[in-house]
Amino acid sequence: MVGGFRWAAMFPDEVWEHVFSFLPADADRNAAALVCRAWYRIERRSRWRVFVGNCYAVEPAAAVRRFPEVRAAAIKGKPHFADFNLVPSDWGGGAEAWVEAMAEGWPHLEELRLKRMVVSDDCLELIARCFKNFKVLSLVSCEGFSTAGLAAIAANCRNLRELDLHENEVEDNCLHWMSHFPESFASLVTLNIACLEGEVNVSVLERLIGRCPNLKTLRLNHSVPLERLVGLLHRVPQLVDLGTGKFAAQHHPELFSKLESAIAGCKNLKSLSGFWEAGPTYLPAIYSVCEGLTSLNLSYATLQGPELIKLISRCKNLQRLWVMDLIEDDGLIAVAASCKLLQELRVFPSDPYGAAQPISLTEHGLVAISAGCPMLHSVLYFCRQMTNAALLTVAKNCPNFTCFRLCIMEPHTPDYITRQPLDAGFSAIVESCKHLRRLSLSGLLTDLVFKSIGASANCLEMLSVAFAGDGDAGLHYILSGCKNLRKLEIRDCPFGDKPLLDNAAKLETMRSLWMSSCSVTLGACRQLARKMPLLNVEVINERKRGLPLELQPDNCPVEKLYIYRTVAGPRSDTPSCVWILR
Amino acid sequence: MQMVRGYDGGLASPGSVSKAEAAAAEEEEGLVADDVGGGAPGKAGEREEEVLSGDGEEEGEEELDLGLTLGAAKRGKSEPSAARWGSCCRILTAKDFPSLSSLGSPRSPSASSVSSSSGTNLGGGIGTGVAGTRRAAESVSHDVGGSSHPPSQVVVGWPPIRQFRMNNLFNHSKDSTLEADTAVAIKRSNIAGGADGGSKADNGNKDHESRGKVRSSFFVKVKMDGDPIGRKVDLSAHDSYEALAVALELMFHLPTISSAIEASVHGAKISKLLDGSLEFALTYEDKDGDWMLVGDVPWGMFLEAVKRLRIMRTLDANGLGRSIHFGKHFNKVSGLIESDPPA
Repeated sequence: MVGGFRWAAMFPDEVWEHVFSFLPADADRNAAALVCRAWYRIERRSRWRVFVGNCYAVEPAAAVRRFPEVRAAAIKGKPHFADFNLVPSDWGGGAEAWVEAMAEGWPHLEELRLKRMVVSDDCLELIARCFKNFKVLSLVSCEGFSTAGLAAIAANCRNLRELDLHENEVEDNCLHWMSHFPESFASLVTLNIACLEGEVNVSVLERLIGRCPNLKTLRLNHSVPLERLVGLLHRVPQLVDLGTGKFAAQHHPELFSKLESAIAGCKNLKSLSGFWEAGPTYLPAIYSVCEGLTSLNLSYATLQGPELIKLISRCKNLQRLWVMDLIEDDGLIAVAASCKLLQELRVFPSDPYGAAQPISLTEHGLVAISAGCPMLHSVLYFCRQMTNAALLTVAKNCPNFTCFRLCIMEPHTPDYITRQPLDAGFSAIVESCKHLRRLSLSGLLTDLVFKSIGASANCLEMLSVAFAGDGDAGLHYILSGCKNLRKLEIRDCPFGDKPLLDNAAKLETMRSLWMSSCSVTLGACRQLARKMPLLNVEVINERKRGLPLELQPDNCPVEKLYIYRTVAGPRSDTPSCVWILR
Repeated sequence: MQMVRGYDGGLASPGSVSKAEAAAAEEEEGLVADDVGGGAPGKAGEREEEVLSGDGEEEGEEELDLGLTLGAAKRGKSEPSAARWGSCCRILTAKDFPSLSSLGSPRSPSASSVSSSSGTNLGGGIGTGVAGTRRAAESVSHDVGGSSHPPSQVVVGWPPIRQFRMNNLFNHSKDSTLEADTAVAIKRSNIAGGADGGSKADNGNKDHESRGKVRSSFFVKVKMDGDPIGRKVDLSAHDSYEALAVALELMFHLPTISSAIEASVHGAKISKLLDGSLEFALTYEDKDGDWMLVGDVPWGMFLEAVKRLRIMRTLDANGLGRSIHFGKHFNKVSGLIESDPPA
C-alpha cells in the first residue's frame, strides 16, 4: 500500500460508510473495496446486502466472515438448465451449508432469497429458530421441503413480512401449516402460496389475512375455489397484487355479482395472476379493475383469443403481460393497439408438443407488438415459425430490448419463406439492440450468427443456445467477444474442445458455462482444469460405465459440462454422476 | 469420435438387437428420474438405431445422440407389442405424435445404446434422457421446419418450459370443473373445426375423451422411502404396470433385473418391484387419499385414480392389508404368477 499519506483517514469511517451507501450496485461496492485497505475494511463492515450468484463460488463461512453485518442475502444454486430437467436431480445446490453458516455468523439476518436450491425442512426450522428478526423468505424454483417446514416458519417468525413461494416443489404433509401463525401475528405484507399443490384451509387463511392490515400481495393456489375468493377479498381491500385460485365455477349469477363487487372493492389492484382453469364466464368480473392494472398473468388460463382480446383491450396501462399462445396473432394485434405502455411480453405455448392443430400465432404477432408498443424491452416468445424479415423489422422497431428470448419450438427451423437460416434476423437484433442483456436463440442457425453476437453484443450478460452452429468457430466467436458475458448455456451444438481451450481465460471472467450434448472430450476438460485452478470443471455423466471417470481415455465424450469460477475449490457434495476435474 | 450413423430404413426385430445391446451396454442409469426420461417414444426409430449400432455398440458412443424421434413417432406403423422401448419415463408417448410418414430419414434416438442389460430395450427412454443429440449431416428437420403441421420431436428439456408450467398444462385438466371442460371442449372444437367441419363441435363427452387421449403427459410425483429427493414420472408414457415399474426401478437405481429374463409373451422384463421379491413395494395414493398397492385395478382405472406414487419398504406395505403379490389383474396380464393372491 502507499505508505505515508493515509488519505482514507481524512474522514471518519462513518462518513465513508455513508458515501458507500449511495453506491447502487454490488459491483460498485466491490470496486470501492479494492481501492485501499481502509476502504476494504469500511466497506465490508457496512455492506448489509449480499448476492451470491453461484452458491459454490465461495465458502459460506468465508462470505459470512467477510461481511459480518449482512441483513439480506440472496443465493442461487443449480444452473438455469435445471429448470428443464437437464441437470440430475441429485446434482447439488443444497442450502444447508449456507443456512448453517448464516445462522452462526448472521444472527440478525432479516431476508433470505434462495433460487434453484434444495432446501430441507431442517433448513427451514433452522431459519425459523435462529434469526430472531427474520422478515422475508423467498424461495424460487426450490425443492426438498414440505409444508411441515412452512409450519415451523409460521410458528416462529414473529416479524415475518414476506413469505414468497414461487414455483417450488413442496411436499404436502402438513395440512394445517397456516394455523401455526399465532393469533398475535399480523405483520404479513406478501403471501405467495401459488405453487402449493395441497388444499388450503381457507377459513384459517381468511383469519390470517384479516389481521394483517399491511398485506399487499396475496397469491393463492389452485385449490382455493372461486366462491371463497369473495370472502378473502373482502378482508383485504387494500391488496395491490392478487393471484386468484381456481377461476372457474358453475355459472351462478349471484356469485358473479359478488365476485365483481369484491374485486371492484380492491381499488389499489395493480397486478393480477392465477386464473387457474379460467373460462369466459367469470372473466368479466375483473373488468372494473383492468384500467389500473400494470401486470397481468394469464399464462395458466386456456382462454381463447376473443375473450383475451375483450379483457386485455381494457388494460390500457398494462406494462407486463404473460399469456398463452391462444391469444394468436389477432390478439397480439389488439394488444399492440391498446397497451401502449407495454414493457414486457411473454407468450407461452399451450401445446408444446404440437399434438393438436396448430395455433395461429406466428411472427406477425411479434412484429405487431414491436410496432405498436414503443416501450417494449423484454420479450419471451414461443412460436413455430419465423422469418428473417420479421426479425429485422422487430429489431428496427425495438432498439431498446434488454431481454429477447425467442423459442421456435421445432429445433433447426429455418426462415419458412426463404428457407434460409435465421442468422440475419438474430444478427439484426444484436446489432440494433445495444442494451441487450439477455438473449435466447432458436431456429436454424450457423456460425455466422455467433460472429455477429460476439462482435456486437457488448452488454450481453446471458446467452442461451440450443441446436445451433456449425462447428467450433461458433463458440469461439462468443467466448472471444461478448465482453460482459456472465452466463453461457449451450445444449446440442457441435462445439468442441478447441474454442474452450483457446478461451480458457474468458471462463474466469464469467459466472458459469453449461454445455450439454456438444462435442467436448474429457481430455479437453482435464486440460482446462489443470490450466485454470480457479475454475471448477464439473463433468456430469449419468450413464454408469465400466470405468470410473479417472480411468477413461481423453477422447471420451463428455455428456454434460458445467464450469464455474470459484474461490472455494472443488465442492464436497458431488453425487456419483458428477466429477470435478483437477 | 463416433461414426455418424446413417439412416437406413431397415427395421430389425427388437429381440435380436436387444441381445447385442445387452451384451455391449451396461445398465443405463435411469436418468433424471423425472419426466425427462428421454425422449424416445420412438419405437420404429429406435429399432433402426439398434440395427445400425447392433455391433460395436460401445458405451462411449451415445453422448451426441438425443432422443430425436422423427422416425420413431410414425403413427399408424404397426408396432410389435414387444417394442415397449418408449415405456420409460419420457416426455411423450408415441401415440401423441402426428404422422411423420412424410419424413425421409428418421432421426433416431440414441439411447438404444445405453439400454440396460434387460432384454427389452428401454434405453430409448433412458439414454435420451441423458441427452445427446446427433447432428445429422442432412438435418431432417429442415424439411419439416416450415411445414404447417410440424412434427413433434421428443427432446429432453425442449421446448424449454419449466416443470411447474408443464404440469399445469396437463395435470389440472384432469381435475377440471365443468366450465373448464367446456372451455377446453370449445377450444378443441375451434381448433378442429377447420379440419373436419366441426364434427367435434358438439358433445362435451366426446371431447373429454379425445382430450384425454391427446393430452401429452401426466406427471405424478414419486418418492422412495429413504431418498430425500422426489422425482416425477410421466404415467402417460407407459401403458402397463410392468413398464412403469421397470422405469421406476431404473430411476431409483434399484437392483437390476437379472439377465435371466422371463420370456413372456411381450418380451417385457418382469419387474421385481411388482413381483414382491424386493424389499420395496410400489404404492399409490388415490383420489380419496388412500394408499393402495399398485396393480390392483386395470391400468386405465389406475390412471384415473392415481395422484402420486410411493416406493415403500415392504414392511410398511404389509400394513396396507394386502399381500405383496399384486392384484389379479396384473397376474392375468403377465401370466407369470401362477397363484392368485390371497384375498
